[in-house]
Amino acid sequence: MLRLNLLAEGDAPVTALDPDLAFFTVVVFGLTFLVLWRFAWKPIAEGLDRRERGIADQIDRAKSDAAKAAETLRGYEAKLSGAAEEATRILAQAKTEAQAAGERILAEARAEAEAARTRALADIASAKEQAVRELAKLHVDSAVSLAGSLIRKEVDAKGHQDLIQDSLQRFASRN
Amino acid sequence: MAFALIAVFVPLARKIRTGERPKGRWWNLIETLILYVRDQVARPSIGHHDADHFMPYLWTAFFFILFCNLCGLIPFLGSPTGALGVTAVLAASTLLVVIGTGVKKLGPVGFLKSQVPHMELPLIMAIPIVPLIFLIELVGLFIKHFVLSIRLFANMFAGHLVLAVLLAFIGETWGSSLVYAVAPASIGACVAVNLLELFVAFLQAYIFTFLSALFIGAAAHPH
Repeated sequence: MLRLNLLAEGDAPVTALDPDLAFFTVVVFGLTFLVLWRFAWKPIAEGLDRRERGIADQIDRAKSDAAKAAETLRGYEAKLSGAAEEATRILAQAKTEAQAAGERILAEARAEAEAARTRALADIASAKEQAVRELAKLHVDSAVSLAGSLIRKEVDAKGHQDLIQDSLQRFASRN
Repeated sequence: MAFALIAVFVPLARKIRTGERPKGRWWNLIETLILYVRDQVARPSIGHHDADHFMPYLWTAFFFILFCNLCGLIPFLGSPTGALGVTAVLAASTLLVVIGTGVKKLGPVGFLKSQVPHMELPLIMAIPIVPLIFLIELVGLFIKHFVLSIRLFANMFAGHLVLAVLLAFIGETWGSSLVYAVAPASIGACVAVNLLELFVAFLQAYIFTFLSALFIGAAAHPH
């Protein structure tokens, strides 16, 4: 049979409340409580509170920064959108201006060309008239000389000049 | 035990006081326990604001009991919480805190009145029943705390008793051939029970602190 002698003879039963042990437990537990309260739990509670406040502040700051960043992002996006519209507008304006400039240059070129043509035609007409005049004069001179030799009659200078003028007018009226 | 507690917590308090984040395994381990007692035990039982006033007592009780319980796992040292004289003092401390809290919050008469739950009874029934319930609740207040001490004592003592019985098997079979079979089995069982005791050490410290917090919370907020 198992003989288990956990208690020596004369020992109090394990469920007995030892007054000395209880008294010293009161002293030890009480002193431990006071010392730990003053030197451990108070600083620990302060430190934990400080850390919690720090973490809460950091979270608040992070939230505030995130809100600011989102606001800035929205601003940039708005500016970007405005810039795209501005670029489109500038492009359209440049295109219009370029088209207008092109048309203006074309019109000027056409006008210049027309002016040059007109001037050339005038020159040609003038040259033609001059040539006709000279040719008529030559013909008249020849005719007068021939006629003079035929009629053996001398034509003086004034008569010669009047004959030329008259011939020229008639020639011009025929041309 | 007191010196061990002071040696652990006073230097640690200097580090935690700075408000810096915990560094190192030891600091993290202890701070985890400290925060667990505060955030998971005290605050849900007593209330967020009131709990902080009772944290010094609850932390002291938790770590005092835990260190006493762990002492029993060290060879040649006994567990102080395996003696009724120690656990009775601890339970009496909780009772004092409970009564002190109730009296401070509600006044002596208010605290006594708060022991009787509110009942819608006809006067004829209330006259005999209310005093009876008051008596039962008052006795129940002391019984609850007495049970608190018995629970802790019994759990710690039972573990040591089981270990002693297991080791006694070896002594009983010593000198016979049975010892070759009994000794390894006893030693293996002792190792297993010791591991269980390690768990029980934490569990009983938690239970004592948790019930203390519940009793304090009930005294601070009776309804």
